[in-house]
Amino acid sequence: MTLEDRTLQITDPMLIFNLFSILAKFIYLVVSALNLGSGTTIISNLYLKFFKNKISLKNFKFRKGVIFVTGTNGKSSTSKILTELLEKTGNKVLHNNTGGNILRSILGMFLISNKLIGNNTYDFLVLEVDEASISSITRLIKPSHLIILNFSRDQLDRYFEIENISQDLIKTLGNHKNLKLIFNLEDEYCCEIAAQTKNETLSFKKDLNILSKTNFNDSFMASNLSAVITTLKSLDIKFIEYEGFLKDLKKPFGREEKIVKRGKEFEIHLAKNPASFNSNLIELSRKKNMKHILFVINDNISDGTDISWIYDIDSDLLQTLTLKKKLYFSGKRAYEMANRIQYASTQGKIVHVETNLKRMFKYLFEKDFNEVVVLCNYSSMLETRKILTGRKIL
Amino acid sequence: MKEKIKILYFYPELLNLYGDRGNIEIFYKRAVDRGLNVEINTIGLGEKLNLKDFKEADFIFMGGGSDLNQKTLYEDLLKNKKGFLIDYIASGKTGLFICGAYQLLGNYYQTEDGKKIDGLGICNFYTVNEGKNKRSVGKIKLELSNPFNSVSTRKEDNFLYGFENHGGQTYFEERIPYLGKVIYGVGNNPKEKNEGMLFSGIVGTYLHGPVFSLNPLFCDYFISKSFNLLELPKLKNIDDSYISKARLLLN
Repeated sequence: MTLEDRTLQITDPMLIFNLFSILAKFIYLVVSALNLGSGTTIISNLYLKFFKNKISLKNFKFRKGVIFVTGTNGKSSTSKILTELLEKTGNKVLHNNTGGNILRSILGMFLISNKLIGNNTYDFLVLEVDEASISSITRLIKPSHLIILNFSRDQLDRYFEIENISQDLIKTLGNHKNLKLIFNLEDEYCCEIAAQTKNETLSFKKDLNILSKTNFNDSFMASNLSAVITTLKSLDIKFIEYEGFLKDLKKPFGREEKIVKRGKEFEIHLAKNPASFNSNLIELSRKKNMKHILFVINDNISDGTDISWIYDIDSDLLQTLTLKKKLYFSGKRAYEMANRIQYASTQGKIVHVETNLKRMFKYLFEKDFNEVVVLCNYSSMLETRKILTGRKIL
Repeated sequence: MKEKIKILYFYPELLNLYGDRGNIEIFYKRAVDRGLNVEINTIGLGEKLNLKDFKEADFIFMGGGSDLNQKTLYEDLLKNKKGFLIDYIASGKTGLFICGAYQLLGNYYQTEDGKKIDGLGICNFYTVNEGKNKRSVGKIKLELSNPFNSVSTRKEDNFLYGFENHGGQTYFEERIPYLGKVIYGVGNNPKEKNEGMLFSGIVGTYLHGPVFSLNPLFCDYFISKSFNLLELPKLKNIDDSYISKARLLLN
């Protein structure tokens, strides 16, 4: 090998990818051992900063398909269920199961899962993708299927307007002629996108009957399941092959998740925008003997720095749910959430407001009641889980 | 003092972004909590407003919406509501126009690709969308140019807090008093460091949040003005100490 060959090799995208992969794996091990989260963000950011145009995923092979799942609500649940059913029907699947759905987290997932020796061969890649990151992630890897679930008001400080997202999606579809679009027939924006594209499309509609075969009972999940079933059908996987596994499906972490700590049960509900908040409120209204509700609202970048959306939550639902309950408020915008509740209801009792979540839990641990329902937005859900389980996910 | 007031709430279905509907909820609850009577009438597309509506209305409210809806609204306003709005505003009655609604009181709105959409031309200003990179997004704080609550002497009460999220920048063609001086954030445009406007009895502003949630005294100003009350009865069930603490955290 001549010297010239060697310098050439350093600009080889595969080599760069593997070097970053080693680095990411090393950091991941150290950081996980210290329990600080996955820690690959720094490496991904460096990679994107210096070698953005040299990212090669050539040593990853997906034999049967690359499926992207996007939309405002239900990305994690849908992609998790799809992954599990694909696996149950004998497929090997790579999936971003930590919920990191923007370019740097997805790149991080590839770096960590990369086998340095041999091929990374899978049947499917299932990615939940942030609705504003679709075009950047399609540059990383080309999808064969795109599932769009629903679009509603979420993080307008980042997306500005819902229409911007649909325009971007239409553009992406135009650039990928072979991409199959699987869309929600019951969502106005999804239908508009489907109407404006020349790509092959398949539609789905929620079927509430399917819920009886599962552990789920909300209509959002019925819709997500229909998306999965329609996708599996288009892949020639028959219902009978996975019907028996539907009973075992669970929602992802932080969605109706029960965690017991110091003898108290905390039921965590991710409620990150008006649509998901309302759906949680409807579901919780069926719950009996609920007495204590903790609201945790943050305004970090991953949540959206504008929290005016709390006034788009249905006031009647809030009023019904908080009637005669004891209410607790935490997170960076705790006071504003307490204030919002006042305008929806004068029948719930605001017992304690404390912006610091650790201190709030300390307060709750000392009380003599045993069950608390926690409604929290994105980063506050991660923080809540970290306090209750001692582990960080992202 | 009025026994009962009537709010005209414009286009609740179309202008439903950014939580602005919260302002109506807050106005209503703060009035009712004090034993005052409020009726809310929603005004939709195609509805023609006349002299009777003008006589009966005591507060009008229009919030922000998406750029896409904006065009439909402009056309409807010009066709069905222009005369009403001109008379209403000239009479000195009170109202609040936020973001997109504020913009359409001006002469025109120029879209990113240079197209001009006619405004109502009630106030002598125009708005230009200077492109995605120049969008003003983030927290904003103002010092009121004309303190609304003559009752309060606390300096802290002279500030308004909110969140702005607008592609259009507003430039005045004549001197119209602005709502406040920008302490942080952008406001009307990046050059002048002021925000909103006071025109006759109405206020135009870019502040979301919703603006009444973070600034209860600003809401009370509109309540007292629409009821023609100098001093409002005390609140019974609403505790403003939560929002006072929230305001401190936004400094």
